Amino acid sequence: GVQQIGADQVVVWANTALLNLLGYSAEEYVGYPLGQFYVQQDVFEEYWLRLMSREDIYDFPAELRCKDGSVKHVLIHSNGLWVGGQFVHTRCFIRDITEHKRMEQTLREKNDALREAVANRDEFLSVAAHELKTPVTSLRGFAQLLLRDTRRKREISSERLESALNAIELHTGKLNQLMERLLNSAQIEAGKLRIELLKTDLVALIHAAIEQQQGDAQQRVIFDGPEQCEAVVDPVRFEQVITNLLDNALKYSPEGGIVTIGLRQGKDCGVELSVTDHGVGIPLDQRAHIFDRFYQAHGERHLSGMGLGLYITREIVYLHGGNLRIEEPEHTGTRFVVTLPSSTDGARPSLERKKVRI
Amino acid sequence: MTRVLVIDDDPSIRQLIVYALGDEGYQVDEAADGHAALQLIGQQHPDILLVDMKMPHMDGWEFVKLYRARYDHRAPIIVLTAARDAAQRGADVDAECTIAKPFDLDVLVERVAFLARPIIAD
Repeated sequence: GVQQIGADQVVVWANTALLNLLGYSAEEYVGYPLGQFYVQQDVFEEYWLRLMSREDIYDFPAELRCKDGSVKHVLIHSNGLWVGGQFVHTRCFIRDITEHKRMEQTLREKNDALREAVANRDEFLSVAAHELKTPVTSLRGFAQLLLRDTRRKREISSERLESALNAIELHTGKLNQLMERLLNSAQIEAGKLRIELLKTDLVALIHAAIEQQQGDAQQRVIFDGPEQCEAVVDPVRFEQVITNLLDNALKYSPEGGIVTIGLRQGKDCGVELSVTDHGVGIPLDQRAHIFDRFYQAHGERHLSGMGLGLYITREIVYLHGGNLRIEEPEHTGTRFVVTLPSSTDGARPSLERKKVRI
Repeated sequence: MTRVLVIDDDPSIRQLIVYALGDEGYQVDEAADGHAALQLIGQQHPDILLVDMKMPHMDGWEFVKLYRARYDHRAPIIVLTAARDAAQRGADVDAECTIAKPFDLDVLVERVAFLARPIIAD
């Protein structure tokens, strides 16, 4: 738009383009002091000062107030006409860059988001690398131990050999689990975690998850539920859910503490799976964060697992259209409850209940 | 016989060190955390301490502080840590030596041997 301003700072005339840009009618704009249309008075004063010092102004940035109260970002070209050393008027060419500014802002926001994403990924890699060190230490150590014996032509006792192999089995298992979690976590972040729904017996999954537990941990798990329970889930992913919750319960339980896995029909014909431990429980203020990526309750950073377990668990449950919540059981401890909606083909869980000690 | 106490919450690592140092002729005791360690020390004072920094209930840092406060007789301490700034962790507790995890068994054995050497008085 174009306008002309007189020596008294009053608008002499303005073209249609400018009036349309700012939304005023000629009567509302012409004859008024220019300053009142500037959002920032100090900006207007600087503009006028420079004009009065006979400066030709190019690309002067300013914010102008429109009739509807909105603000337009503009760039102003302004040349003064001086006759006999006196300022007569200035003709201003005004260019609207509001849209441009908006895009700049969006770009800045996207940049910030990207920077945060990269920082997240770096933290992720750093946490992962650190976590891997523990199992690798054992693996490498036992390999070197046996090598020392071999090189010195010392006989390796069967007890030592068994210890070494046990350690290797245990820690390669942990490495595997860590890698799975890392991959899953990355998939979740990328929105790429997929589930394949199949009619599955949840009870079989639960028993499989219990059997995966090492050593005497199995003795500490009680299953309270029916002999059979069909539901439509992704068997691999859902077993992960059970294992994660079970791992957690055992990890945060005191020595020899009992963990109970319960399975029953929920409201609306869905299924309710609960995992209860007798540990110290989760303080109220930490419950909101418990499902965050990398979060570990009680600041127990010495425990392995990177704090990804619950993050992944929740995501898988959500993908199944279900819900995961924390409850406080009657005793001290924690109860996680997974609810799954009724399966689409109406398959109902068997109602026969039996307490089985595994 | 030189007595070494290894304090680490990871049973595999403890087992490994018991074997490796046992082979070298040391008497190795083990503790899974700071509390158990202090109890053992109370019964028989070790000549060298191998301390993992990250442990439950009482971490390495806390343990060393308590140990030094309680016992004038300072056994040399080797810090074991998976932290990136391993040397700093060791320096934080004024350890005689720091070994970063994962470590080479040879390095562990050599460091223990160095600290166990008899001090020859002039």
